[in-house]
Amino acid sequence: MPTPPAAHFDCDPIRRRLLGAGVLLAAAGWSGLSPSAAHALAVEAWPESAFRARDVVTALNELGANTVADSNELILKTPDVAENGGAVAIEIASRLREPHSIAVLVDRNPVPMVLQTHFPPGVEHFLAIRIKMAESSKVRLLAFSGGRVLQVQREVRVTLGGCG
Amino acid sequence: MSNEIRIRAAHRQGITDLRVLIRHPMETGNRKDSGGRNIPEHFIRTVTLRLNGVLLTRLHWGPGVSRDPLFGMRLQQARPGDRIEVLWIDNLGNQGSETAVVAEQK
Repeated sequence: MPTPPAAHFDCDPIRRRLLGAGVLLAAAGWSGLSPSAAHALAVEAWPESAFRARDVVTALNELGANTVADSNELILKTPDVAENGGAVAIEIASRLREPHSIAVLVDRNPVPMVLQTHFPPGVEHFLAIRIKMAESSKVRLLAFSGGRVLQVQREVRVTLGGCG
Repeated sequence: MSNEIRIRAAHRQGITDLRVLIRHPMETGNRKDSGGRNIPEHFIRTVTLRLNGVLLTRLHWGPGVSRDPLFGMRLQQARPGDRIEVLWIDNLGNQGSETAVVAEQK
């Protein structure tokens, strides 16, 4: 079943209020609202339900990322081995042309959802940041673009966990 | 809590390299202090970036971002002299903000 555009934030109360009021949507022009514009609205509010999830399957469900396609347009740089799980440097990039939102998850963290942001026009599709890893785990980068959810994942071995 | 933000915004060949360091404990809620008491969760939820007062984007974080968060982004529209504002708010409602001016990098 295809994922409807931006459906993954419909559980968000603030967005629902905005949708109800129609303020921003009217301003954006409802008929012409592209999925990426919908994401631009959605990224305004902290995605609470995804951050509340305590396992990665629930977190992915909350993000509307039940069906993901592996993509070589996404780049996720991580170390193969991290000595200190408290600060693992990662770099994210994408070759997608259109503006899009991204999320990073660490499957085996107590809170798998790590971050989300939106790359609007004028911002390069690049983010470097340090994240925590409680133990060796898969790290996923998701991109939400035009109703599609794309993914790349990397396995990182952690020798000293950093979520305690 | 200190409200320290360090911003470096260096423009070179059309791209502004933005680096931001925020002092923040980013507590997960899973750690205990020396007395065995739980340290409550305390983490930045949202970082807002503005360019010359106009919203650029937001970053939404959970406790999985490292203590004293450090991140880098690249802006295509910022020019030397432009103002970049960084504003964070955490799960306890604390806020901090800082503004930096984009500098030309030789």
